Amino acid sequence: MLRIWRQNQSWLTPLVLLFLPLALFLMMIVWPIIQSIVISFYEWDGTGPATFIGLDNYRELFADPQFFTSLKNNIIWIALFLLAPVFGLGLALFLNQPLGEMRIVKSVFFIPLVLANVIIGVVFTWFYDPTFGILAIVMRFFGFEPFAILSDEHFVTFGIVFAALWAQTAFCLVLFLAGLSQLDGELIAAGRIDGASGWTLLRHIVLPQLRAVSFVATIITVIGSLRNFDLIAVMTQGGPYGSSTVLAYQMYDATIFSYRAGYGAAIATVLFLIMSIYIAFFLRHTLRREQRGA
Amino acid sequence: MTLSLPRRALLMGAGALALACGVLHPFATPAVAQETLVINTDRSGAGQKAAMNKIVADFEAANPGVKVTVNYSDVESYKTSIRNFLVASPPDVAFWFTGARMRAFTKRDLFADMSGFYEQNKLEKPMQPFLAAVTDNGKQYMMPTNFNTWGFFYNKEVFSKLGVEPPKTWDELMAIAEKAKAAGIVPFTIGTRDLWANALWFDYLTKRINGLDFYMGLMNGTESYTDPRIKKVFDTWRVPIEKGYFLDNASSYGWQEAIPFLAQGKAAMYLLGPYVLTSLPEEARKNIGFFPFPTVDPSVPNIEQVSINGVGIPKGAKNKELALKFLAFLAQPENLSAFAKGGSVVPARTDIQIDPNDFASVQMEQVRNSAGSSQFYDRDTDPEMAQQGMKGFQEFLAKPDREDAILQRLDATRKRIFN
Amino acid sequence: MEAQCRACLGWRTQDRETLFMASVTIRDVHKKFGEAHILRGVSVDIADGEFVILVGPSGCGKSTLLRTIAGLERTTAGEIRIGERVVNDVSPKDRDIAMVFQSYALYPHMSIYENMAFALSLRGEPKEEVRQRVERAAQILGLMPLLERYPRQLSGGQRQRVAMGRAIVRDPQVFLFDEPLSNLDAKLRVAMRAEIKELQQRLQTTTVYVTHDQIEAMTMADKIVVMRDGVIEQIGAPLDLYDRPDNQFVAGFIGSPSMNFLEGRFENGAFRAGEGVVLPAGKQWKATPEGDAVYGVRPEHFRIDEAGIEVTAVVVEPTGSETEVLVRVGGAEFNCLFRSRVPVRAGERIRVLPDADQVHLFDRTTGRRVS
Repeated sequence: MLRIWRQNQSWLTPLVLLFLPLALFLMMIVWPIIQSIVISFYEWDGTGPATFIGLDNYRELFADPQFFTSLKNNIIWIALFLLAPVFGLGLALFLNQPLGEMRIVKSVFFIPLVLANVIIGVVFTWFYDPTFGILAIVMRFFGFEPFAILSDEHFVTFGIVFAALWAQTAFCLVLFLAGLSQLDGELIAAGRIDGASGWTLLRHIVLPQLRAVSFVATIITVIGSLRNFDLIAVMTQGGPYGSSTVLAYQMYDATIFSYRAGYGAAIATVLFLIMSIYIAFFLRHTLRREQRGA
Repeated sequence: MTLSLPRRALLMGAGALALACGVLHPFATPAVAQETLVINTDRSGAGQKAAMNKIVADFEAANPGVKVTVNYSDVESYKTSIRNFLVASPPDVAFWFTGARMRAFTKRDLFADMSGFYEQNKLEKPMQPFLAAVTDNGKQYMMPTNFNTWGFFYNKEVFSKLGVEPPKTWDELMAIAEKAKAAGIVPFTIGTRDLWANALWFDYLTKRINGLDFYMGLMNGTESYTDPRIKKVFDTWRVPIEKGYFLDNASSYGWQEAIPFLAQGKAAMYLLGPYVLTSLPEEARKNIGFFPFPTVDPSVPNIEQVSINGVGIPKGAKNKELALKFLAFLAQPENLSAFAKGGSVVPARTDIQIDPNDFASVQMEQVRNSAGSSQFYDRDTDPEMAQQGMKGFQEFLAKPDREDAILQRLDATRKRIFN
Repeated sequence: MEAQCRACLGWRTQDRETLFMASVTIRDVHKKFGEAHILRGVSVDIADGEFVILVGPSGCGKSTLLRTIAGLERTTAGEIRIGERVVNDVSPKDRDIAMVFQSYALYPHMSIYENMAFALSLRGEPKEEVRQRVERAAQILGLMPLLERYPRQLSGGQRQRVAMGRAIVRDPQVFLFDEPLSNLDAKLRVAMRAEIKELQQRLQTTTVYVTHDQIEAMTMADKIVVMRDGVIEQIGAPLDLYDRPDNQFVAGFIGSPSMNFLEGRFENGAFRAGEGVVLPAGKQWKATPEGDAVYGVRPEHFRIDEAGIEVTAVVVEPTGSETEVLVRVGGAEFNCLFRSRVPVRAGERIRVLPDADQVHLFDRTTGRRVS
């Protein structure tokens, strides 16, 4: 027994070590995904017997105006959410100064990070409250009629995205601050001597060094924007009348309130495909860049 | 073709794709020595919580060796979590709504049949009026605990300032609203973010204009949302909307967030249930009056909205015997009475003497005068229909000119669901 | 000759006013980081085309001085001139300098070509001009086959060379080197030392070079600046420093193995370092006052001589060409280095005598040369 082990150790060891992570990955990630995709072909209320209906859920989905509202909102989310890395980088550059006072300022900017999304949602709901909210009070002070962002079908998504951006920017800020602290000082000095300053220094010397961080920040931000749903649930419950719903929330709404797990799974599958396509595209892009040597 | 997969696994799978944690919210079921009884409840208002805690303590005292754990949850999150915990980690006792909302679960075999319970505990008689609401296919699955009615809560000070009395007819109601509006007061406060408060207007107008049979037909999917009778409901409803009688930006507020407008005198009336009272401090309560929904069409009898709440035993409960024992204990007149009083609702026993000074007596009176009753839009119709319907009502309140589009959409949903 | 060389490289634009006048003048420069006083009044004159090495133990301020010349640090007080121009308030890019860093500081995301072309491209030079200049520099340094590679694909020595290429491609008035060889292995270091020296002689560009390695300083510099604790201990040509160190610190820092110091008393034309240890006075010590002092003699200036003092060999280290012997006498220990094979074994007694031309006497408290 011991001899067999010794003779085959070189290939058995990795197998043994890989077993647990692989098993977990298959069990917790791959299997649920497959199950969800399977469920999306069934009419199922979540508990009782399921009826196979082929592509009916998808047919219904692509004819559902709510689906396109959600899709449109998802696109708004992604587009605006990508401002988070930009703002985060800008703030990080600003806060990355060797002043003692900056520590306090930094910790102020970290606050959104320690708050649960639900709390952020509640706070921003109060902030937007058209009667008692700070926004309304400020608008009234300047002589404007308070504007109920969360009740306006055209602006509601922007209102929620803004709240989400507030938190996401802090997240990106932390990433970029960590990245900036890893910067090679000699490289910056070399750049300055070579004639780079301000924008050229940032573009040619600093940003390339932050590429790994930017990659992580961007991909997490995009995924975050696609799966964001807690703020919507807290702030508007997808309303008014579904106008702030995104795919993730629509899935939740269909599964939990309408008891349509099959339909919900179909939405989840579409969402999964969108994410997969995006991630595949992004990975290919970066891998290519890596191959070019940088 | 049907398929039966392991439920728990499937349910997890459904949510796991992107946001498992948001969907799953299992209640903890701690293990304690000897006999344990786990109760999940959404009756978490201060009054009902206090009453419940006392009942539980009494029950534990009367049954040595029994340990009761009560998991309180707020109403809205309870609605989203109950289906998961009934499947994944069923408690021994679960509070819930009766009617269609109960049947949504009995249809899926999630509640235990407790038909014999009433006879054993001699409850068939005192609970007789409520049994229909807890019955599915001739079997009882829940025990009614209390009921409540709905109607207009108004600010007494505002009414006296306006020099008006509670109205008896729709026209009188509109006249008061006009006066309030002229005085710079919002006639009707309402919060539609969580959708359901708005359904009261739809329910009442539909029943008062078209009668109970049509309403029940609509709930069962046999009547159409594009029917001219529904059109009439919306045309009536449109008048106060277009005149600006409702609180602006209603969808920015949850139903509770709309109450301060009433309490502070910024709004005159709120069509809601006794939760208005339980949400307010004792002092503020005194200034709040109540009147039932006024007559709209004198030729149609006044049908009230009576919502019955109950308590059941999940099919997967570990300790059904003890659960039944607890329900019988809760059903004792003094316990049920205390429990209902905590929530300003009416105990579901006809043999309980109601305190004439309590709001329960007003509700009791309402029920006695009613020619029949239904429960609530989201308890009387299919859950998905209810969800889509209430979204439509929310949209109508904000954009009344989209009436036709909304109704056509709702009828498409109805056809798909009830087909 | 030098003009010719520059002409053949053809980089310098002829209309530049400071043509060939790239001296560097440092006047009483101070630098403070908060409470820490890093440079305390440093003055150095560097002539055009001179190769000056700043040397000293770590923390002496040599790198800070280099960075103030580069403009990467601002001076707290004092003046720095490059040519005729005061550059205190001139940004690094406008000082017409190039710098080679200890870590080489190659831009990892750029190819070798891009690294070398970066400064020129930023200046907006025409592409063709940039290409020609990069290729010329690459040819000089043998980098032509590597131009399309990325820094991480190169060896340490190659990277070093790219860093130099990046500096010379700009044809600056002054080269600054910040410990450029410290990341190389010993063999490569010796080779690069020669290469840098040769390159500097070829280009005749004023060079300021920082190192903590006194051998580098001795072998490469026209002029060495020895620094300690933010002040200059001595400035001079390498052999001057070796032969006539101004103080005990310089004496100990320059030369390897380093100078032996023996405490004792100078009187009656001899130096006594304890019981029976009598060392000969230097030949020029006629005017030297008597009293307590420190006697300095380099290990290589001992010879075995019957007239010498008797010592015990403690450690004997033969290297083939020479023999290093640690000896003990009385309470004192010192090193001797003989340029031949010496048949001495540990524990044996020998007689050694210092060369009277090559001994130094320092003040015991100030460390200053008194002989």
